[in-house]
Amino acid sequence: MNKAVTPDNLTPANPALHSDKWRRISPASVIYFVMKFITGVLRGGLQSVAPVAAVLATTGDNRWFALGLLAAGAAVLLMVGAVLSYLNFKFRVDRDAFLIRSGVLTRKRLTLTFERIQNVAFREPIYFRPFNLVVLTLESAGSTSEEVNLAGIPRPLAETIRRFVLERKKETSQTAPVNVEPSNEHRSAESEPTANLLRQPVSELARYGVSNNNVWVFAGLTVGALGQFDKFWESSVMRGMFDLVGETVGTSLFALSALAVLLTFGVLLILMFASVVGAVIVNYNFHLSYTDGRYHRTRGLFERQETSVPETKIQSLKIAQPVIASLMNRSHLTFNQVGFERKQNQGRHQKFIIPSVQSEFYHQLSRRLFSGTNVLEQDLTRINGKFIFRHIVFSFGLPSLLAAGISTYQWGWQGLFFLVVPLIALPFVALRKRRHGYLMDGEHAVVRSGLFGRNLTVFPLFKAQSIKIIQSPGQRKAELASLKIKLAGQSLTIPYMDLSDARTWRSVSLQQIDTRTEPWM
Amino acid sequence: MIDTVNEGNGVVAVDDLPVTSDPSFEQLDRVYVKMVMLTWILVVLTIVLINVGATALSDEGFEPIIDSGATPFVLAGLFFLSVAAFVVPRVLWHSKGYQLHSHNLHYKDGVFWRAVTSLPFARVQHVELESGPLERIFKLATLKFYTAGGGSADIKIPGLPFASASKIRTYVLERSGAKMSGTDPEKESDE
Repeated sequence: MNKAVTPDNLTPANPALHSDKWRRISPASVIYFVMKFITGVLRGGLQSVAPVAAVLATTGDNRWFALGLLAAGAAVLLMVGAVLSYLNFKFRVDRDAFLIRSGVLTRKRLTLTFERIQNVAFREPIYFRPFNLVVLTLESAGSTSEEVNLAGIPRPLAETIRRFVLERKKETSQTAPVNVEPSNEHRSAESEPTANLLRQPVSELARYGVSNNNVWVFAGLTVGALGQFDKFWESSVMRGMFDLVGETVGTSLFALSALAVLLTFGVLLILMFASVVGAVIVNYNFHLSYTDGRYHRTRGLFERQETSVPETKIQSLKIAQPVIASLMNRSHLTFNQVGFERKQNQGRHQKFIIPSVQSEFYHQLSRRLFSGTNVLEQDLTRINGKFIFRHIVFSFGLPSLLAAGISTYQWGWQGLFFLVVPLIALPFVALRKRRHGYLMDGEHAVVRSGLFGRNLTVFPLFKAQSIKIIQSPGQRKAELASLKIKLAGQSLTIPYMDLSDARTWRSVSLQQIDTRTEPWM
Repeated sequence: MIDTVNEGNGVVAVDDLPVTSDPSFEQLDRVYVKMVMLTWILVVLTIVLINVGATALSDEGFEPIIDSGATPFVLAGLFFLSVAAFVVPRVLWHSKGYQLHSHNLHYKDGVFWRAVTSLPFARVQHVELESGPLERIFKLATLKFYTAGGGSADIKIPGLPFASASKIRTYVLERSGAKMSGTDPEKESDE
């Protein structure tokens, strides 16, 4: 299927690119390899520093000398390794593939055909900026080992490569009969100038830093980490602190709990501050634009990242509104792409997040993405109230009854305390029920969930991969069902919806999949 | 009630969907009952034999059990397990079934929590035909259908005779544009 494109109609456009000679990346890439190794060690955790600890423990009086020797050795090794990595890294652009040779000890040869390349992304680390070099990442649909980083190539060359790969991809997809795009939407989009969709000032990024859920994740981690260090709490410093606290605020319950609350808030404030700083660094100068059927994003203070995602690859738009964000009337958006779960784990390729926007923006964006749908602007259908009953009785009631029974048997009447648990859970379950909602307009659908915060997911029904209708005995009696829609890389569940609604969703989805011919990825 | 989507030539009108526990689901091969029964018996036998062996080898042997008067309970438990060996496979067999349409595959499963999974052929990435040692004894196979939904198979149909399993596979693959047996799922998922 690649034969349709001859070398003749390729080479004139890219005379510099297409060649039989192996090319090298810039010598400055040595820095990149050094940094890569160091971050690798840091990510690998403390175990990679274990040799150092061993030296410290065994060498006694000479430990500083030994340590210095070790550091010097490591530095030399690192430099040699980085230089060799640079010398051994060669690439070549063939007629329909990228060829890469790399590796110091184990040599790697990789042929990445253009049709397999999913995405081309740029990064501009701060140490490359003086040289006007970038890191070009080629993401493939396959395994992560097939990802290629061309570290340290001049920006113009990177842009040529990106254009070339994308054009080349387009040609192959046109020659392939399966994916011929029936609409002329994309044709007209090509001539369309770049649409600037969003620029985020630092104030909005700060809002994102305050309101995203990372703060709570960090808080959890901090508490967990502090709990791990028994020694920390028993250390003389902490004891002194405790004594000091006892002397100054007294030992009354009120004073102590006030102090505890204050401390907690202090820690949360610090975490929030850290989160804000992080958000600003990562998203600095955030810019979202749209050209040629692709969304482009540039961001970053120390390392400029340029990512782009083809419109067709977006499986759904997630609109997350954590509690704090709702106080500020902001939401954080995510383009969910095919297999984004995998990329998330890689660290480098973070999710395509658009931080801190107002409802007007995401209404527009959703209309732009999903052929003018206005599902987001309508009231959603609520799920059935039996959801509350079911969770209170089965998820909380039965377990707490069991726990109460066992503990009463063992410790006496205090065990009955467990019976209160369902009552405590009730408002939360009720809140969760209220959050669940769903709506579709025959082509697109929106699903809402959440507890304190709120998550909306908008997606075109034809992008569904499979649809499952599940009914428990109780749901069968009440003509209710839970619907599970699997999208590429994510699945959505609507619990306790009317059976007739579930069936409508299923048949409309199947019908959409049958009739919509455009590629779903 | 298990419901089903029933379409003529793919395009369905929403109202056409029957709400009955549909008899048009193809059932699995009867031999599947025997296979599940054998699996059940093997598992129970292994557990019982290990326990009996361990008790027999212990210093006191069976005496503590007999003395404690638990013998009737143990026997009742064994009786229950043997009855279950007859009932459970039949119930399981009855709970599963599939429907092939011109564009979709539907699969029902579950005894208490009943589910119907619908899979459009257009989204099938690859199909796997599997036959474990026990299945081979009964000449049965399991068909697994994968989409880009990730991870495990979206639909797993067990208890199919070899011939019909491969017939279904061919039928689905012809309509999906995916490749046989999914040796290279990545290639297919690309444009």
